[in-house]
Amino acid sequence: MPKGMQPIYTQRLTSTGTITFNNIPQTYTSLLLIGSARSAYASGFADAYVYFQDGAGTSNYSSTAQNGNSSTVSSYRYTNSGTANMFGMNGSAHTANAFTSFKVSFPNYRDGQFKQMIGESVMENDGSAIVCQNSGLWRSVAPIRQINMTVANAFVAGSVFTLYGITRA
Amino acid sequence: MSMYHIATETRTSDGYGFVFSNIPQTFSHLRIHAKLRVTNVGAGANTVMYFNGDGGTNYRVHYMGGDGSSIFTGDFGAGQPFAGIGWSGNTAATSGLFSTHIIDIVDYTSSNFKTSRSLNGFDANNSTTNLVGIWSSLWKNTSPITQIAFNGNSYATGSTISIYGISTPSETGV
Repeated sequence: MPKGMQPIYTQRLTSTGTITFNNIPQTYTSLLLIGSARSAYASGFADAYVYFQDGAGTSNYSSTAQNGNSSTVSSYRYTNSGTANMFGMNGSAHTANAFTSFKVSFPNYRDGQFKQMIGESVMENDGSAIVCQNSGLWRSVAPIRQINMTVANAFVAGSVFTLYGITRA
Repeated sequence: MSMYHIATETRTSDGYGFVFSNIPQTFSHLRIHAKLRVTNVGAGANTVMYFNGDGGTNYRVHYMGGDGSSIFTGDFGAGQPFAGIGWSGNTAATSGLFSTHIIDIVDYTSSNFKTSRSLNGFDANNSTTNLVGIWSSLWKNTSPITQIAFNGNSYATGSTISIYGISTPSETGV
């Protein structure tokens, strides 16, 4: 296994949809997700969510966020959820062609401990925008084998998601 | 290996600006690491970024930051002539200290508008300008990014900017 950061999977949507990465290799130390995306949500900025192979019907996730919307800063938290809020997302009401830039890290994704993750996103817009940082917890000791990402009204065509594996020296 | 060094510029004397031309169009994303200190501005010095030589009013800049006592957020307003990457090391800081900027430009060859995201920090080692922030900029242009310039102030000897290209695989994991 080469050291450093290796690309695993990439998906670019050609129509509106959500994202699932299956069969994640169990050979790396950590995972990193990098993306550029936008949602079809019409009522402002949307939260984007991550969940793993246990599905979205559980209460195994919690997450905490802080963000600035150009005028105020705020922080909020979700507990006992079926998903973790790990980044934000532009919607259809925002500047055309403006996509959110984000990354989410999944350190030590194979450890036999509950999994922590951390996200960073900027929802650019030629108007009010949001910059956001998130942390999340998956209360499972299982290794991460599948990653799902979803948002209200789904991601639009042109959204791209890439998953990398990182191996320690 | 998916992250490849494209170019590095280091100032060998104090002066204005960094320019990276002919950026390869063969990667999926760009990652930029910058270490900066300006010589002509005190607390609050910013470094700005331009794409493809565009200094027109085609950008928007937002940020969220903290200075050790408060957290704040802001918008530079409509029609900015540059993108922002954050607060730079400055003359109010202890000598020899530089700011850090880690900038991601995802999907830089796409036909979407380009969003840049910069994680920025600077410890002045005194009580003047200790800052941490995340900066966001929109370039309202659908062209692929082929040139990136950084400017705004005179930069101290030793200021360095490196650009890396990040590749993606063909496998989808579906």
